[in-house]
Amino acid sequence: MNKLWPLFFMFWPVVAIVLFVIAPDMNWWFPSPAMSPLGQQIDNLFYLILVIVAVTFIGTHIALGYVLYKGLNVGSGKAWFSHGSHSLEMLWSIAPASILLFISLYQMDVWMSFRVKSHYPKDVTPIAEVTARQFEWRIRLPAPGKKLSPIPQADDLYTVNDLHVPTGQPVLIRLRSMDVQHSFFVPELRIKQDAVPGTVIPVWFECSAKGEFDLTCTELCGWGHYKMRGRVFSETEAEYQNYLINLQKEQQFDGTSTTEAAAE
Amino acid sequence: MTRTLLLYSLILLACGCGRRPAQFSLSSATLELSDAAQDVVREELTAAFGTPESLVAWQALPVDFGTVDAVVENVADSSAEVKLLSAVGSDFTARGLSIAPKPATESGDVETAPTEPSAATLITVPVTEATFKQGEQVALVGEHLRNGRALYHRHCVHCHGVSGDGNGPTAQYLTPRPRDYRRGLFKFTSTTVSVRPSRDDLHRVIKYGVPGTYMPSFMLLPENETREIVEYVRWLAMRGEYETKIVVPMQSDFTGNPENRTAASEAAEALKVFRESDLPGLVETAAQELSDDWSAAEDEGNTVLPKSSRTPSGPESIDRGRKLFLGEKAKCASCHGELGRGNGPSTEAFNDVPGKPGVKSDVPGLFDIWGNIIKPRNLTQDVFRGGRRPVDVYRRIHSGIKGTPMQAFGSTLTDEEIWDLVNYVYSIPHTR
Repeated sequence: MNKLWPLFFMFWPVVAIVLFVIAPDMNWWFPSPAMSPLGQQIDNLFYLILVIVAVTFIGTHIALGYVLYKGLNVGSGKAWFSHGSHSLEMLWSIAPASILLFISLYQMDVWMSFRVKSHYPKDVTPIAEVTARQFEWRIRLPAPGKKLSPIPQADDLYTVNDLHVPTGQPVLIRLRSMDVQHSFFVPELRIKQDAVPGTVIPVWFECSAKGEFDLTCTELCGWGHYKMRGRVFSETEAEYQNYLINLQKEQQFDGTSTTEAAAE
Repeated sequence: MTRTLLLYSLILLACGCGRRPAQFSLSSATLELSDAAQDVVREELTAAFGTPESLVAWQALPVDFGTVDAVVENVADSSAEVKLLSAVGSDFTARGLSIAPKPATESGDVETAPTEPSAATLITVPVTEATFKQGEQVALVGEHLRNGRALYHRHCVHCHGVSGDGNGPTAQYLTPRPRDYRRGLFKFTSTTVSVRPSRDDLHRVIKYGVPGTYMPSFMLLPENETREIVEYVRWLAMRGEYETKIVVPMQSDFTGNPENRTAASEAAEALKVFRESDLPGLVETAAQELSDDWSAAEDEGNTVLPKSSRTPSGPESIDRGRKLFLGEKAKCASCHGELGRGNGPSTEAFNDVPGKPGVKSDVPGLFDIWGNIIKPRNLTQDVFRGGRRPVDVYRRIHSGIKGTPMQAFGSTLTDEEIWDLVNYVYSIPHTR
């Protein structure tokens, strides 16, 4: 009966070890494998923290179990009273502090390549201006073969909610908001960036594989927040150019050509 | 303590803590009638359209109500002229031929394979024409309407209101106001001036939204759901129009204004006569008109399509367009302003109150038919509410924007002139 508590506390590290080992393979931590190189690095950071936390959690539980187990056989011995230990205090202050310092230094590369302009990939191309609005994503694209201009051009293409990007090359979007704060979130790409009214925030990402990803708003922006679901289509360069050409055709439809089908 | 608890539960009981059922409201014109006349209108509307909780699929209307398979469970009193028939189906009823023998399905056809009725609700439907046997497979009409209602109540109702009167709870905070469907008028259509919007027009607005307004894009909805919302919106619009068609002939005789009212008994007698002799004809005409009007919108002959293709944009075309814009023939500048900023002289003028010709408003500005002050589009902003394709802008100029002072120029301007104007409008935001 007395062994209940030591066993109880020793049970959890065992469960934790099992979970920590199988969770990544079962995809329990993330919505899907990261679909971008940067996302992979971000995942690695998560795993690093996971290992540190796991070791700490298991270690403390083993210590706790050990103390409880020892306490079972104390008998009627005299209690020993401690007034604290300076060296122990130093130990458990410096150890976590150095772990935190390590993490903060270690993640700096990833952070800089995501957020600091001078560390962006050299060949990143701006492909679209995404303007968040209650409750949709309005997207402005350059005409096929042209570069995205910060100022709207006469031949720009416009679409809503569906963002097409070429696979395997770093692309950049200019993120804006027309009304309140929104947040551009593509879970599969591990991209999350607030859209702040009055500013244009560059966000770069690279899709490493073809696919269709959810684009959601992750800043509660009003009653229709749930409606702000878009899609990111990652497609080959040829498909992407084709998409732009079709979009341009659709947008130049004057009612006399024969292809209205593209509009629906 | 017990007393406090008791008090709270009493308050809760008194105020109610359950969901209040949605209700269709009556139009302001109906509310001006006498109470008894209002009851007649309400009764007729309920018979033809039902309530949000119990929809009626009236077969006289050109609405694709959709069907669902059901099994006849119980036929009561088959000798009576009106047979009461219960079927396992869903919570909708229908007027007219509400329940039809299940159409024979071709063998091997996957799409028409019978589906299990989702909600096993017992409904009772009066059947006048066909006879049914117990256990017979039937098709219940109204599935699209029922789904459309659920979707409409989830996504649209807070702005457009339960009755489609553009007066939902959030509507008061919005400029421009959400569309009031009840006139059957929708601004951005592909149809000619006097024709209702087509299904595709409504579909386009729902799918892509209206940039520059609070109408967002509903691209997240699957195609079939968007189609069902379109049917429900058309049906709500027809309900509103139907109400007007019934109420207008009643206005002279059954007004609620005591000065015009004859003695109470006389009024009641007149109402009874109206109900028995005039109303059935009125209902028939109204249904016929609705059917004609909304079917015409689907007719390809009523779609505005330019006869000549767009003039390639260039300095000459833009210059011709600019002259038209400023000139006397099209008078665009009188509303949109010389620079296209939507601040022309008529926005500062005292105009007629909509629906009351000759009565000047005491506030300056342009009115739409729903009585809101609206601003002509500021063309420098590069925002095109009705779509930015050349054909969209062409249609705005050719057949105007329904319900607004933007008139149709299809008869006064040639195609070439309209295209010049389109090119000029496109050039405005990019000229400095």
